[in-house]
Parts: sequence; structure tokens; C-alpha cells
Amino acid sequence: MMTHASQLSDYAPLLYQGAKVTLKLTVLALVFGSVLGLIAGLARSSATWWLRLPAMAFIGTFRSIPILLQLFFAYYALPLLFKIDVPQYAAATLALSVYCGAYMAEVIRSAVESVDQGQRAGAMALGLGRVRMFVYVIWPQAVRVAIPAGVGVFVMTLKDSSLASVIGYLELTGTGLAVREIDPASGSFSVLVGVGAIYFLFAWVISFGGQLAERRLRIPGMIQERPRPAMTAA
Amino acid sequence: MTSNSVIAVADVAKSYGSTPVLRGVSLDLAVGEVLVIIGRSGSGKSTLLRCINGLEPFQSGSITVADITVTPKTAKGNELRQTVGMIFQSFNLFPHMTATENVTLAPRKLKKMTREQAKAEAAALLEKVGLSHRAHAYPGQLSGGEQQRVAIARALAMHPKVMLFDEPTSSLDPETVGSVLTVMRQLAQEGMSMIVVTHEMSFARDVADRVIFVDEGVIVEEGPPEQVLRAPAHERTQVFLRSILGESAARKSPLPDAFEVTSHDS
Repeated sequence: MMTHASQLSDYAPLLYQGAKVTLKLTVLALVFGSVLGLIAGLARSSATWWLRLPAMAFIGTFRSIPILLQLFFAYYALPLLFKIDVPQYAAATLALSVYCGAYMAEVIRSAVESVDQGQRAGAMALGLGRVRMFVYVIWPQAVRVAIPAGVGVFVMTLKDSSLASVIGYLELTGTGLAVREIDPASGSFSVLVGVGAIYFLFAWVISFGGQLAERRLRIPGMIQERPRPAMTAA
Repeated sequence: MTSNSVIAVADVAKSYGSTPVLRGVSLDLAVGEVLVIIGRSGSGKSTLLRCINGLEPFQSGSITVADITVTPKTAKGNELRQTVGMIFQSFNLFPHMTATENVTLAPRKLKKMTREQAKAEAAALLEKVGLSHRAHAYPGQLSGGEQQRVAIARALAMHPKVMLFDEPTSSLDPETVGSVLTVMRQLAQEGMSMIVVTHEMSFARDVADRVIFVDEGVIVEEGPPEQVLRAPAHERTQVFLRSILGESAARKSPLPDAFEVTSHDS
């Protein structure tokens, strides 16, 4: 009979494979999602209605529908609707990117809008046009505001990538569940504990990266506007 | 617009919705002239400044600065704003840039100056406003008066033909007001054309060539400071000055006396 430890080491290569898939899926979703979020967030805060309305529709739709349904839709409905072949990885990447993008858009919109109106007046008064004003004055300030909330969206996307297992995509969670199913003799949650630990590690790396970025971008002499509550509501 | 004027405002009207803010304002600013606009808050004086450098659209009339004319139908905002320097009550320095970076941004991006050229000029301008030693400080590390002086250096870096000051000392601690007014006096002495919206009556008295009193979107009275501040013809001006002087009396500098004792050799 195998010992507890040897069981986990037997499955380790499988979990490693699953972790690689999850990492790839998450990174792709974060990259696409951030780009989508940047575009939609800027369009959402635009004064031009034909930019703003589509962005509002995009954000409203994909933030309101559960990611689980979006995954099903991408995997089962898109092939029927468009007569195209949608493999699992494509459906998962698409659904997760769009979901992440909709949340990211709101983070970016609120960050851009949080920059003091006086900054726009100051930049305008120098004769900087709209583009230069955004690139040199508004965005560097907005990005600092966006980081904490953006890290939250990144971690959420990482965790929600586990739902891709329901369309049969063998990422980390799917692998863990499959191992338990194929080998009921294992009979323990040790595999799932390992899976959870890997998510925890990834999430920690994302959070740590966010903290590093925040520290690097901290402006000397600037009052930190986020209050530090004594107790955080979980 | 006469040949020696740098700003000509002709019958400008502006309203926010159905609320009129400017109701047909006309004024000329001669090259090298210092014009002080006084009036209570909400009288339209700040809006007038913001119209002059194209930060606010207006509904009728025209504004000419140097050789750029702006009407409600033309969009020459950036061109206009590069010609006009504007100083705000709230400084509006860019908090993520050092004093030097604040000053060099516009010349580098708009005048295509090299970093070295722009830096050298910024150093000269910061010295001019007495802040050489703070060149590498961020706005958050500067006092209000220092921030406002950096803002003046930043505006001067674009070599404006005219400077507009929108209540430049209103949000400053009393002890730093003087440093900003000193820089403004110096600019006036160097012949900079300036329009200054302010409640600093001593500045109006000492530095202004002309004072305009604005109320409810129209120019009520204008003339040399001795006339407008000491012997206003209109009742509305008298009422306004009395309210302002009430404040300065509390600070033991009633204006009429101050006139008597002011020496003009400074």
C-alpha cells in the first residue's frame, strides 16, 4: 500500500502539466483581458457616444453573466452559431479574456476618472493635445490608482480559470478532479490540497508583483490616498 | 485690436445652460500691461480667463491673442494655449514629476527641444522663481507657494506672450503668498503682459496698470488702480471694495492709508 506522500509524488507530474495549462490560460486571458479592458475602459469614459455605448454594452453584458455560462456558450454555442470548430483551449481563453476584460475596463475607467480635473486643465493650458495629455499626465497617475484593483481582477481571473474544467479542459483543477475520479483508491483530498496550494502560489506571485509595482511607482511626498483600515473586511 | 495690444476680447458671451456667466465682455490688453480683474466669486472673472486661453468654449464674440483669433466656431485651442501661460488657484502641477520635469515636459514634447536644452532652460527658470534648490523635489514635497512658483516657471517655459493668473494666491498659506507675489511683480517689471484675477488689493494697487471690476458677467468699472480702488464711481464697486476692505482692515492694512504710505521706489 502506498503512503500518503508517495501518492502525491505519483500525481505530481500530472499536476505539473495541469499547472502549466492553467498558467498559460491565465496569462493569455490576462494579456487579452488587459488589452480589451484598456480599450473598453477608455471608450467607456469617452465623451463620444458611439465609443461609449458599445463599451457600456460590452462591460454590462460580460460582467453580468456568470463565467460558467460564458464558458458553455463559447464551447457549445459558438460552433453551432458560426459553424466553426472551437477547441477547448480556445473557448476557455476566449471566455476568460472577455470576462477579465469587462472587469478590467471598469478598473481602468474608474482610475482614469479619479485623476483630478485640474490635471487636465493644467495639461491643456500648456497646449498639450489630448493624446499627449493622456500619455504623459493622465495615464501615469491613473495606472497607480488601477494597480490594487487590477491585481484583484488578475487573481479573480486566475481562480476562475478553474471553471474551464467544466467544458472538459484539463487545466489544473480539471486534472486534480480527474485524478480523484480515475483513482478512487487514493480516497483522500491530498490531490486537491496540492491543487489548492498551486493556486495559492500563483495568486501570491500576482499579489507580490502588484506590491512591487506599487512600491516602484510610489511618488515621493505624495499623500497615499487609500486609507489603511485597522481591520480589513474579508 | 490696436497694433500694440496682445489680447483683444470683443463682446464675448457665455452661459452654462440658461445661466449667463459672461454677458458681452470686451477688453484690450496692451503689450506689457498688467491688468487686474476684481470681483466677487461667481462674477465670471475666472470664466473670462478660461475663455481667453481656450479652456472654455463661449457662445458669441471673439478673442484674439497675439495673431490667433478664436470664435465659437474655430478650434485653435492648442495653438492658443501654447501662446498663453495660465496659472491656476490649485497649481495643477503634475504630481508624478519633479519640479524640473514639470517645467521641461511641454517644451520637450511641443517645441521638440532636446532634454539637455529643456533642462538648462528649466534650471534658469527655477532659479528665476527662487527654487534652484528644489529642482528635483516632487510637488508633494513642496509648500503651496513653492508649487505655485514651479507652476509659473512651467508656464514661462513655453515663452508665452501673455500670462493669465487665476487667483494665484487664494489657496496659499499667508506666509507663502509673498513669495508668489514677488515673482509676479518681477515678471511685471520685466514687461510681461499679464491679466491677474486676485483679491490681493495691495498687488492691484502697486503693480496693476489698470483695474477692472466685474460683476454678474459684465465689466462694471475700469480705470487706473487709484481711481477704481480709492474712488470707485459705481455703487456696486463701492459695496464690493467695502466688503474686501473690511477683511483687510481686520489685518490692519486699510487700503486708503496704505495708499498714502506706499512708496513707489520698490
